[in-house]
Amino acid sequence: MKLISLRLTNFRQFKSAYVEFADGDSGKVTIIHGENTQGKSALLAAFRWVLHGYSGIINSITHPNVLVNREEFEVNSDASASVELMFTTSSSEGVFHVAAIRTLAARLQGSHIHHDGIVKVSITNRTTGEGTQTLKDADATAFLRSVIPFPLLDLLFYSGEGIDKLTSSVTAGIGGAVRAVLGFNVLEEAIQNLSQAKAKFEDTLHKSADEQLKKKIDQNNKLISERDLNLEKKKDFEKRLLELSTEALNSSKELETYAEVKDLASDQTRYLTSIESDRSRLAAASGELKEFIKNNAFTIVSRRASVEGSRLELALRQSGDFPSAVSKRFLDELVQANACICGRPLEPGSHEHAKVTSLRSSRARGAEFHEAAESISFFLKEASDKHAERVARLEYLKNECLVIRARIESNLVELADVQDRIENSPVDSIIEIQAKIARVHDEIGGLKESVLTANREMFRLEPVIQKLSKEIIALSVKRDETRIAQKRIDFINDAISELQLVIDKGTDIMHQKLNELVAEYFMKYNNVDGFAKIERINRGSGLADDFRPVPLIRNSKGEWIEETGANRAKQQCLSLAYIRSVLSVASRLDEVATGGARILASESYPLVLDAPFGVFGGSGDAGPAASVCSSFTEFEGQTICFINYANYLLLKKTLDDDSYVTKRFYIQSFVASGPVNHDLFGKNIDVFSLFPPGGAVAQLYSEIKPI
Amino acid sequence: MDTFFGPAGADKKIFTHYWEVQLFAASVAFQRGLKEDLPDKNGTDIDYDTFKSCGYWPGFLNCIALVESGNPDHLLPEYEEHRISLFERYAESGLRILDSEGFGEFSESMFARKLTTIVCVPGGVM
Repeated sequence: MKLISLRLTNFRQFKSAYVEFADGDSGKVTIIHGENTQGKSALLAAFRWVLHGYSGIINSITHPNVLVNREEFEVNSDASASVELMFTTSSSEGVFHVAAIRTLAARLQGSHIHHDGIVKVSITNRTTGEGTQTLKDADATAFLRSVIPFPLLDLLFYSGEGIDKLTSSVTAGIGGAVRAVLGFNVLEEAIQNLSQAKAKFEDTLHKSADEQLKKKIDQNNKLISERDLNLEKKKDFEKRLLELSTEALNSSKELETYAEVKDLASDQTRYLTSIESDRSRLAAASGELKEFIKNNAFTIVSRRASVEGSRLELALRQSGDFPSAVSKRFLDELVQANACICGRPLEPGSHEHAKVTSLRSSRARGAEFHEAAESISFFLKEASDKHAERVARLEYLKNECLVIRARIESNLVELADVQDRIENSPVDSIIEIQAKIARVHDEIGGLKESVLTANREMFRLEPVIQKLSKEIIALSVKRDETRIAQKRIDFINDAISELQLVIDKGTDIMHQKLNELVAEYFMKYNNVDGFAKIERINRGSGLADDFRPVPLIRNSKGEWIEETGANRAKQQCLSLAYIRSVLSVASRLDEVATGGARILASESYPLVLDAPFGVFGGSGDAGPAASVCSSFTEFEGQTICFINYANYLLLKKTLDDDSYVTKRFYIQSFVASGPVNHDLFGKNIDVFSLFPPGGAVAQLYSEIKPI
Repeated sequence: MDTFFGPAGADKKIFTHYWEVQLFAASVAFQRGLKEDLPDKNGTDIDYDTFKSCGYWPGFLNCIALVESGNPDHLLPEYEEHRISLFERYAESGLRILDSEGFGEFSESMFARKLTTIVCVPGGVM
């Protein structure tokens, strides 16, 4: 790649500027002089912006809002900034002339700026002279990024203000540049893409493993066997159930033929119960009858005595003979007292005397008579009263006993008859049948439960089996996918191995070469006792190792050890040594790359350096700045260097050599206060104040003029 | 006589004491108007002590004597032996009747039936 020219329009402080660089041949140096803040870094940003857009801009002051020169907005609300970079690039198809233009269209609305960027690239095959091809936007961007991969941007368009970057432990950008030069970034991306593809296939492989399928099939087969077995059992149960039901039905029918016997048994029970009950009643009735007879038999049987005795007693009482009203002893007492019963004197010969005497002789009775008469009255009273009631009661009790007894007798007869019939009936058979029916019903109950259990088990198993079957089908499909996936994985693994091998080999060679070159250049620039090496940092599988330039110093034993806290000048030397080493390798890839390691075409790259000597300090020709500066012609590609006046004075001897610097420019800035004059390159140049009194960026506009 | 005479508590026995049987037999015989002469009559066969617990007996004894004679004088002490003899004759006759009619084999119900028959027979004292 060789840079031809750069044109700026309304870009930052550049109102209009155009630079044609020294011939792209090796060793040709272009110097652009500019004081601090006049636009050197903006110029570097212009390179990076046109090639990589905003992502290439490393300075925050180049925010889109301030990218357009503000002076333009004073006359027009619509303004645009653009950068046009012309360069050539080589490929196997020839040398192409490229005009890359990036434009930012902006509109000022109030205090806000709205912008819209476009990029356009025109490519002309300079070797063949074929027609121009114009790319826009995405295609143009992609093309530019393929010419200068992003990691190379920091290396080729180098800001002296970021000297720590190349030697710090944060090495991503540096190693990335090397990888970009070698094309390892492409290989890494390929490996990454392959790994991602592989991961997907592995995922497929994992999800659809044969083992899983086998397990599912085994599980399903087991469940199916279980279900079938259950079904068989259920059928057996049902068959047996049918047999038993028939058997139970037959037994019941058979039992019906013995219904009469069953009735007999019932009758027997009924008779026995009745007889037993009647016997109890009879015992009670007999007891009562016995007690009644005992108490009343005599009086009942003495009916004649009582009837006739009562009649006679009544007659005797009416006649006054029974019993006598006056006892003999009383009459004796009357006679002895000579007194009548009526109270009159009982005069012998008197009527009263005669009556008493008569009574004494004929009618008077002794105490024994009275006692006997009283006993008769007592008997008659006892025997006569309630006779009819007693007889009726006797009749009732007798009949009750007779009725009960007759009923017992009758029942006994019936019972004997029933028992006779039972005796002659096949009771044993009935009992046997009844027992059989009971057994059959028991078994039926058990079988019904078994059938229910079998049904429940089948209901449980069926959906599980169906689900498993679906899973098996799905797994079978996946198994096929697995086999394909495995083949793809194997293929990817082979591809990755190949790529990794290329990366490893290329990295080894690159490391070796860089080690040699960095050590050589660093020693040369540093100009003091010091050594450097390239440290290799493993970034993991599928990734090329990273590189980090490390300054070395000798310890007290004379051994080389890493120098920590190296001064900025030393770091700058190391950075430039590293950059040069990379460019050197890039221009001679054929020497370092083997096999498939060389992805990009062998090409020398330009180097654009912004303030590369800013930190060296004044050490004259012997200092590292002088060493670096004087080595620019040894660089493999063209070199463009932005330098301020102070450093120019330091390196004046080298830079004033026209054979060394083939083109020179200075950035001229205009401010309200007028130009500032400097003696530059032997000529008087007006250098304007860096910060105009008004302080407005819009008032600053620059142009680049050849010296 | 075993049916209606036996120790107290025996299942089939109607009468507990022998005097009860004698009294019952005498009443049965008097009911039917049958009395027998007593062989080897000594006039003192009755053991009065056995009748002590029965309030009916003296009345029954005196009553059949009065009915038999129709003369209240037979209640006088001097007729006591006659009265006893009369009772014994009826008792003897009654026992014979009971024996001849199988009272000894009667159950309670049969006894009751017989008893009722005796009372209710048209030709009886009723």
